[in-house]
Amino acid sequence: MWKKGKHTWKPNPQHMGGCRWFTKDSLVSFSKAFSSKPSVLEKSLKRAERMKEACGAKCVLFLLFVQTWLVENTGHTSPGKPVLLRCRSPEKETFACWWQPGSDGGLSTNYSLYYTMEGSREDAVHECPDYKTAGLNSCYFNKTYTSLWITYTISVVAQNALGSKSSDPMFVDVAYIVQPHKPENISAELRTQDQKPYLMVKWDPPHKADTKSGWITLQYEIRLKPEKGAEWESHYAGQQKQFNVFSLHPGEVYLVQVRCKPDHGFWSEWSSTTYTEIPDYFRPRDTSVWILIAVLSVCIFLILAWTVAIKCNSIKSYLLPPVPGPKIIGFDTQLLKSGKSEDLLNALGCQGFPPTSDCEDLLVEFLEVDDSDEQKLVMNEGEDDLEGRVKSSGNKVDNDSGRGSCDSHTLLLEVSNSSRKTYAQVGGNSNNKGSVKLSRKSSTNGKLLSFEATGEKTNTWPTANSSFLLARQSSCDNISKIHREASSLGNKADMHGNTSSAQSKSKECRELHSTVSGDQKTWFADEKHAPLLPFKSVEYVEVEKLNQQSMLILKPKTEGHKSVPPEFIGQEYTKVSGVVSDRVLLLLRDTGAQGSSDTQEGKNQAVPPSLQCQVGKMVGTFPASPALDGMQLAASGYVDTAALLQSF
Amino acid sequence: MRQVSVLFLVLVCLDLEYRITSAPICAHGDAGCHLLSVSDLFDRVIQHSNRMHSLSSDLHSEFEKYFLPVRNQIGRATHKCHTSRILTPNGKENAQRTDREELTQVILRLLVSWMDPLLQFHQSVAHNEELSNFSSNKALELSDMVHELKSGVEKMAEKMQLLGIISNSLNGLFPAEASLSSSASNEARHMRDYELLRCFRRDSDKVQNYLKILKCRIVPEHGC
Repeated sequence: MWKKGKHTWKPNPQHMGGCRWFTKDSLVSFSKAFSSKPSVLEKSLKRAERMKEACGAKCVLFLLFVQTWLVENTGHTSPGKPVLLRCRSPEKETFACWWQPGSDGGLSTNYSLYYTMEGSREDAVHECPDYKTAGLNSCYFNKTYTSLWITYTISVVAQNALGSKSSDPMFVDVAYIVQPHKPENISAELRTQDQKPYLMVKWDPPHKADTKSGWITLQYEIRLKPEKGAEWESHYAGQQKQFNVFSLHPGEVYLVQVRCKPDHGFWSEWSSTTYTEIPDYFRPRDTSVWILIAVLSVCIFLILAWTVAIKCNSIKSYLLPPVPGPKIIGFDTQLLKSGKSEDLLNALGCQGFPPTSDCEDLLVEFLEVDDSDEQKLVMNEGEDDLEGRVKSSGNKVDNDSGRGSCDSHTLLLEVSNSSRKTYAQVGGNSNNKGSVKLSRKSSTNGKLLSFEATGEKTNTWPTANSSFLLARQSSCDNISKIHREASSLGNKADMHGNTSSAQSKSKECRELHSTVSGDQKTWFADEKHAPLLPFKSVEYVEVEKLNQQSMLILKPKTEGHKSVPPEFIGQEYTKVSGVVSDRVLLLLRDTGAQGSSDTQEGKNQAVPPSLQCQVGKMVGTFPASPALDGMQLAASGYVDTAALLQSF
Repeated sequence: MRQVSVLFLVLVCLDLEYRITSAPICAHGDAGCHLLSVSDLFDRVIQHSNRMHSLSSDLHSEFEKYFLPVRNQIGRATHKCHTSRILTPNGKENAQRTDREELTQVILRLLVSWMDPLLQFHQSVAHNEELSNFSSNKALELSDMVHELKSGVEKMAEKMQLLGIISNSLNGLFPAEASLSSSASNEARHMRDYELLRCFRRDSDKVQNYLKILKCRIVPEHGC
């Protein structure tokens, strides 16, 4: 019935049977009706229904067809059904609802929210008081419009030109839709307890939630994780506003978040993240390791100390080797202590004592007496020159070390090559220091023998009354030589005034022994006093006497005395036969030499060529007879001062 | 050994003493001590009401599952709660404007009005074979709790009246409450179970909230 005309449908007049003819005008008005409001559309539909009643089914189809065509060409429809999403109250005093709009049908659509309250009348429908505060597609109910413990029936109606759509209603009791805001002011503080760190997290409730009046009661939950960790570690904190977290890894940065929930309601969102760094700390486990190390070191130290204590001596000897004392090769200190001088000297290799023939290279040929500065016999100490060279051994302890067998602390043998000046000074002890200094100069090998005897009291020698001149050398040969020299001197200076010393000037060694006692007069001289004349050449002196000041008075020997019996050329020894009254040494004359002046008649004993140079031994060689009337000594006797030792 | 045994006996006796006399140490007449005990009472009562409310919520959700009414029908309360007659403050400001005595009175009214209906509810649940034992046990527990809470609140009110915290105007209300509750309970029989639970859940929430408000108003030191 419609003829397709030029963009219009024209009813075919031929097929129009029983239907009203629609004029073009009516069609235009009909199409206009579609674009108008739905009410208009409804009216048109009603009209179409009426027409349908009038026209029948075909007319209905026609109308539907028209409608569809119109929709396709314009794209407008009634709005879709909106959906209420949720309603939430942050503090149980206000609430808001949000919805999701449906399709708008291409037309501007209005959304309106309507609600009814329980207990009020059914038709008391209210509309949303505030569409804007809560954002788009929302409705906000402030305090005035909020009532608790009342069920709200809320629905949203979407409406556009073509229709409206209402959402499904939502039943809301504000007391049960509480979802608070996030907790605020979250602070995480690192503290230590028993050297273990823990994190104390504190927060405040959301400022809108009124917990102080008891209107809302909130429960809290915190969660934390290391910055690089994957999972959160949650802790329920109850209603308190702080929480201590103990399971921490040092040296990491932790993220902390808190959320809250009312008694019956919804959890809030997680708060903003708080970052806390846990510093590295010394774990208690490490402390126990250190304790273990300390205990082990103490044990090791104790073991070492015990080992050292046991091996003390060997360690000492290893670390600090003892300084060896000077030892004479072949010298046996035990022999010395045992008192066997023969064995000792044998051990030392002393073959003959006094030595007889092998002393050519020895020291002193003669004794030079230099009297250039003195007019008479100088009985002074002569301390100036010699003492610098001669050591005073008065304070030394007499022991064997460093000395020869004939030890003597009183006599030092000094050998020097330098000076040829010799002088003899026989000095008494004006100050209790009887010293006789004799310097011998050896022309052969330039040795100077100087002697100094100090008559001080010494430890070993009971020299209270005498002083001894003894050569102290390291070898026995020298000692024997000195003895020879001493004997020669003694020969020359003995009481006999023998001046055969000029002839006895030989290259052989002579011992020099002189015993001068401080207040004893072992030297006996003739009664004539003769000063000691200065000698320019080698001359011999003889001791005349010993004056009161314990001075030896020497006098030179004259030529007349040159007729030294040949016996004086050789080396002669005399034994000391005895000591008389502790002051006089009695010398034994040689058997073959002179027998006249021998007052010890029964004592003609050959002087044993090897005289033991030992004190103790000398005693043994002493003849037992002490009695002596005279004070004459053998001409060729020598005094071994060592023998005097025993008498004291 | 003897000394150890004597010491042990002494300790046990002390412990027993401690258990027996679990009340605060302070004697009567001490104002500070009384206030402390009021705070303790409040705490106990609030705990009790919390428990009661959580129980009622569980039961309510369980009943919803079982009966599965259409969602639209849930909201439509065919019957009002029998306690709707009791004027209760429905907002924070309203509640804070209400004075202590009235608030306490409201609480007591609510509790009293629920004692019988819950008993009936328990009986109906027990006979209902569709419901699990868990539900019937909870229903029984719920009715017991209401009784306990009501007595607790009464004691607390007496204490407060003794201390002068609230006036003595409460006593005259109780007989009136009884009449109210009886009429209300008649209405409650007609309610369906889940509606009853819904009403009770709401009222227990009210009670809890009012108690908390009271506590923070009277003894605000702890946890407010």
